[in-house]
Amino acid sequence: MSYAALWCKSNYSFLEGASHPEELVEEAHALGLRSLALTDRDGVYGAVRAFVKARELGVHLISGSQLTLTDKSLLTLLAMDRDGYANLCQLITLGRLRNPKGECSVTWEEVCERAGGLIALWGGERSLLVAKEDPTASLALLREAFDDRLYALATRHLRAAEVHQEERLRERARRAEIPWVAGTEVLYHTANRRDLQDVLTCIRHGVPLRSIGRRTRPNAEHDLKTPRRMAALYADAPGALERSLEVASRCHFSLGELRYRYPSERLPDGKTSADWLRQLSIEGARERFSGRIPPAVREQIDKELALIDELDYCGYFLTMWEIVQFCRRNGILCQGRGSAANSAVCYCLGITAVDVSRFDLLFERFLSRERAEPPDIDLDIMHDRREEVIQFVYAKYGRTHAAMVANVIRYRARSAVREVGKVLGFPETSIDRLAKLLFHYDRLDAEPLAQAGFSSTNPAHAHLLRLADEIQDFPRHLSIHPGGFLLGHEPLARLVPIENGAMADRSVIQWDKYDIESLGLFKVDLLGLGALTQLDRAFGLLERHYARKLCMREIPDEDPATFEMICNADTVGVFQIESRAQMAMLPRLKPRSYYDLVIEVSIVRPGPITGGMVHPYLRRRNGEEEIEYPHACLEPVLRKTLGVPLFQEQVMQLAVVAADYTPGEADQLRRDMAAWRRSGRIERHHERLVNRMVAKGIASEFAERIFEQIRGFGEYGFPESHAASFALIAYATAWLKQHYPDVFTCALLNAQPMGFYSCATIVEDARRHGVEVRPIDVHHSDWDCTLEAAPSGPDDTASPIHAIRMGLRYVKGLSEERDYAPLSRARAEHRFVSLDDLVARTGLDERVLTQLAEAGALAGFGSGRRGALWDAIGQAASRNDRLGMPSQEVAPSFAELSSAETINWDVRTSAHSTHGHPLEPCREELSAQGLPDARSIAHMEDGARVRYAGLVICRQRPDTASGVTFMTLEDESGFVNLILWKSIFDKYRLLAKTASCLGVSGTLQRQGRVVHLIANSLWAPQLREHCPERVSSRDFR
Amino acid sequence: MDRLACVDVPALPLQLLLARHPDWKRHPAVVVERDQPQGKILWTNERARRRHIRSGMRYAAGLALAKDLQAGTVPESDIAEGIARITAELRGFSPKIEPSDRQPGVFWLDASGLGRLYPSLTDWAQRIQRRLNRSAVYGRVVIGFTRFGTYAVARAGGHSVQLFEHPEHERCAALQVALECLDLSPPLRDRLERLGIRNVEAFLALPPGGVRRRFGAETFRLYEFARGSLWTPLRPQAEPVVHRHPIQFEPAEADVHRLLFRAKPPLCELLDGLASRGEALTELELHLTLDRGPRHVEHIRTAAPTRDERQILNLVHLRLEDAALGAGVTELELVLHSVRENQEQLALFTHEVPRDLHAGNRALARLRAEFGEDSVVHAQLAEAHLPEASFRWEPLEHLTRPNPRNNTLRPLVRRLFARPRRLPPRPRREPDSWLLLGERGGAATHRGGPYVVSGGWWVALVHREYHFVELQSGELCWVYYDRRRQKWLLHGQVG
Repeated sequence: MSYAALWCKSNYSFLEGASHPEELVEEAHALGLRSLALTDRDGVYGAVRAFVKARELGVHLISGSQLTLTDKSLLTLLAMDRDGYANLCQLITLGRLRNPKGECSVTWEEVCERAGGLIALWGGERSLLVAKEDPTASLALLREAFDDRLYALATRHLRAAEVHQEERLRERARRAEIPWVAGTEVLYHTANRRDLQDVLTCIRHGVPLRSIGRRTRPNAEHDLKTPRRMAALYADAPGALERSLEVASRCHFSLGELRYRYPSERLPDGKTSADWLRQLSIEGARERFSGRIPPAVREQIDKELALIDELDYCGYFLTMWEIVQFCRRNGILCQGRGSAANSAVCYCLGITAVDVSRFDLLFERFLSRERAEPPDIDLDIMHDRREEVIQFVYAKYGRTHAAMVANVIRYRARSAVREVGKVLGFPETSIDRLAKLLFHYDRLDAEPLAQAGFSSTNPAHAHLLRLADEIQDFPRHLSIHPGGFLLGHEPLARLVPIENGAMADRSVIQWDKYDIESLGLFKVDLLGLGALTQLDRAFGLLERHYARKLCMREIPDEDPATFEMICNADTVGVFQIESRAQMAMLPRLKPRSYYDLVIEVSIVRPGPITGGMVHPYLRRRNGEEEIEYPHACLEPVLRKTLGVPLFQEQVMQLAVVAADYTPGEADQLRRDMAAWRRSGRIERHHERLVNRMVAKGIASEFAERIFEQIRGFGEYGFPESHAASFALIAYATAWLKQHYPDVFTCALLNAQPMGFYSCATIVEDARRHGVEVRPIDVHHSDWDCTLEAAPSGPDDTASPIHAIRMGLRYVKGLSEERDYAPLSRARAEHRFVSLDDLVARTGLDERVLTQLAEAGALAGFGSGRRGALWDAIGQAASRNDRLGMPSQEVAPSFAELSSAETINWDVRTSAHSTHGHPLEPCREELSAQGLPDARSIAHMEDGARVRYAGLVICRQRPDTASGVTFMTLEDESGFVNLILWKSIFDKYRLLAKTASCLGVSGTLQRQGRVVHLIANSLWAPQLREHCPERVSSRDFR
Repeated sequence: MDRLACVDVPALPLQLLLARHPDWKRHPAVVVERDQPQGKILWTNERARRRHIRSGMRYAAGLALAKDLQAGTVPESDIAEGIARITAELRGFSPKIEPSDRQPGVFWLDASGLGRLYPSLTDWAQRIQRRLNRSAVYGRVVIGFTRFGTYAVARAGGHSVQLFEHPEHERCAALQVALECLDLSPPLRDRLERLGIRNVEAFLALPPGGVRRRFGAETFRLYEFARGSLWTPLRPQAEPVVHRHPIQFEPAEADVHRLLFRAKPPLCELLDGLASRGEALTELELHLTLDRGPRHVEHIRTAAPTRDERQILNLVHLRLEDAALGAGVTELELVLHSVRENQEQLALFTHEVPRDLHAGNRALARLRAEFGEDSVVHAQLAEAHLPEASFRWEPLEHLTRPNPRNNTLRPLVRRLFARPRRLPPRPRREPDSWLLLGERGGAATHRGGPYVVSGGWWVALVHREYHFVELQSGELCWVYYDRRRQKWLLHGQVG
């Protein structure tokens, strides 16, 4: 006899369920169960994932939830139809919004008011129906509200206490004439997950296993059972088990039924959305093309508008237009990214900035009739003003119709080790030591355990290895997506529950962006981009200090000097092309035009790299290989990239042209590319693509290579349109760096945190470019960095005419509101004449004063840093002196700081130094040891054996590099790029992962101007005279 | 001139920790305030200091400097025990010993007048050093003239034994001592270091008023102390008073009555001694040296602090009568533990209740005296799934008044066996005619279950399937099948 599992909780019942929703559905399918209800605790977080898997396997998925009542008892609700589902979502929303984040509770009355379309299952250990207390009041309410949709749920998990509970439940159900149904509380798909469920329980309660007591389940009977085991379990009541099928058969609702309508706009003069969109697009086009719209563009706009109208997407475009207008009105820099740059309408509405008349962009990548799914417009907004735009959206649509998309925080290697280790009772300090040896996405194996000093003979280590691995990718808690909004015509709470975010004034839905995409819902992405903040600041500085009013569109095109700088890989701080990998590519690719930049942005991506397309492209570009096309039909598709596919759009077009894919199929291919890692769906295209290409006369080798690249694109290949949008910003920042390095650096420092490099590296780079960087000073520094007149006058065009004054924002521990504001006010009144004067008029406390003294910001008072520190402590102490007696003490004399000490004090207090690089004072000692600087290394021959020491500023271990780790080391003369093969990294893992000042012995590898040092061994430099202050490196995946 | 010695056992808590984890000696190691990444580092070893790890840092910050940093906590009680142990060791060398109450591991000893006992003060110091080494702790001994001078030089490291012949020599050496050796509070240490003040001499060069104003009274006290303008006499720790009395028996005595007869007068004397200090007896230790065999110790606790001689002798009588000594006693030593007497005048005003708890407690004390310390226990519920772990027996110190709850459901009384009893295998076929208790109870007639209890996988996996089995005789047995051991066991009986 079969049955339906009506009470199943996945790992989206955070820290309770121990299986992914997909695993539950797959197991149900494997066991031959027709129906399974996913009833996560106070939510439908895992519903979409389960739905997608159930649709794929043909399992009947019932949507439901286990609700917590205000009296802490539980009730499980199942949605029978769309109204029932809406009621369930609204109930959860009600319970969630009235409670702090993570909690939920509803009253019996609220449940009864929204009982329509819902089945109530009343049972389980924590339900009132089995409790000793009398449930008559609640029973009467439920009986009336749910009528024949109320069932008593008996659960058996082979526990002695359940016998009495079931007796009580059945007796009460009999008296109230409620049918009872048999089931179990499913917490994992297989009993093997019981250990993990115990661990999750411990994490939830914050106690180790040895003290968890009876809070874990007493046995492993919470798995999804076979029909045979269930039949045996309920051998005395087969009717009750059969009733589970009856309950399941009453639940018709499927998430596939969700019909979504985009919110209507209020339109002027009774216009339709389509009319209004057309009018705005044409007006925008006239402005973009100075009144003369090219016919091709006009034709494209018409085509796009027709499709947008047909698919009823006008409202979405109008929303984006409104957001962009809001940004313009308020001086907030924004620019669309992603596939939206394929759209002429988006360009004309001002959403994107890529000139459609200059590109042969693929509109189908953005929107297609066959796909019948909403377009995806991502809007980049300068990051420090994004919140204003978010609040605008909330205000415009209201909290009921707009909510942010969730971001599910999952266990990764470090968090897994920390929490599982704590539960298993390892000392937290040992666990911390182990966690810090792991990269974010590492799998835990025996090696780091040994390196962290754990004995492999301890049996608990096997548990740690196993469970830390199992728990990875489990949801930990819900967070908010950086900028994704869901907007709806009907209240969103009928679609998905809404809950409070941890951040004030934020409400968030229970689904993440993948869920939204799976269901085909509209998402508005408002993303923060530091580079736009940098540009905004730079334009402001240009206007103030150079009287030059400039915007993105007015930056001169195709500037040779800018491209020369880019070709020299002199791109620290330049958007998108500043990374180590990009810098290594620039001298090889030698970009000379905007489109070259588009290619540069796209080519250093996992897609082209794993697809093996980089080297063929470079050889062809450098004339070392003939440009040829595998088939004549592919020439139009691949011409602009010299016969080598580099963009997502080209892959789609290839499928259309070479394998006769329809545009819709091609888009499905793109979606499967993006999802292949999760689902392996890309494999179904393999045979079709290769066979069809071969049939067209394309060499099978090329066809296979194309397929490999398609796989690679799954790992974040760029669409051309997206690269084109980014290349605009990259060019703008590069142009600023070339022509106004002072402005560029100042703006970059003020837009931090952003980009690839720390402020110390940015300051060093500016100094190497001849920009004077002045230290923080309470007399001169604002909160932000500022430009000051430099000694070299405007006649000297070779050097910038301004020096950068570092801002007080870089003094660690200072707050703009609490500390800078009074200082700024007091300084505006008149200049500080002494430290006494500063203390008296600002009221700054001892901590701030000593921090300023140590950072050198009180140097203007002329007593040296140590003297200033002594005075600062004294001033602060005097303020606490109630008698206020004037001090007559003689100031002691203190030793002046050495240059090494000055730099170290700077780095410690403000993470940078304007007085030099931390290794500068060590140079003599390093040279005495025969260690060259970065500049010397850059001129060495290929194959040279080198010993070098530098500060680690960046570590990177990309997935595409087969375990190779890249490191950037820095000294006062520049960078050295280091390559560590996996064996070397493993051998020196501790040093490689943790050293700040690192020594390396290796072999130099030179390809043109690109130099790498291949490490053979790592060591800790022995510096006796000066020890550089530890600097933090930026580590990436 | 009086001579003073400072014995410094550097980072005593860390030495205690490393004694627990000898393999950590090869690594940088620290003692932390609490076992958490944000736990503050309190003491560091040399390897850690070489990696720039210092006290006051958080463990996580230390870990950033040394990835193999080992850490552990040392409870206050362990430190106190360590100090007491070392103090006891040092008592053999000087009658006056003052352990520092601020820095564990620092001891000042009065070194005056030892010339007749030891060939030289250096010899005396070397003996101390060797004794410490035998106790598995490392320490330095500095003999000089002032507290600060000897302390500072001892902390500075260098020779394990150092003797100053002249106060000026001591002062010169103390001035050169680096401040980081002196266990200053980390914020003060860091601040002085930033000011470039690295040794005692530079510290003393600061203006006194400036030091007091900036760093507070505590630092100023240290400053005055270092300057020599503050003198405090040695405050030796008093040797703990133990109330004990040995009684010799020649020939060996085996008769309990005669033992008691001989023990009575000294016991009364000791009790009088307690009375004179306002104390009462809580525990009596009887150290019995036997004619043959090992030394035997009996602990006897009274129901309440008392000096009632009759009651105490009664308890001794009960205990000795029951103790199988097996040989005559050659020596009986009485050791008394006492507390300050509690004046129970308030008891005069309390309402007299029918149950006499004092009498009950006295009865329990007699039971303990006769059957041993663990004979009086009561069950306490514990949070665990396994039946035998879901309660524990705890010694019952005192009776309290019962507070019965209204319980309408009459619970089944289940008698658990201390060790489950092995059962014969169960026949595979039903009806199984399973003779659980042999012929006596007859075959099993009804069975309820299974109820599964499994878990403990992180230490030793347990999987039991419990059943209630009714026998023909009407007995109800509580049995389980141990799936891992594949055995049936009887865990208890109901009824």
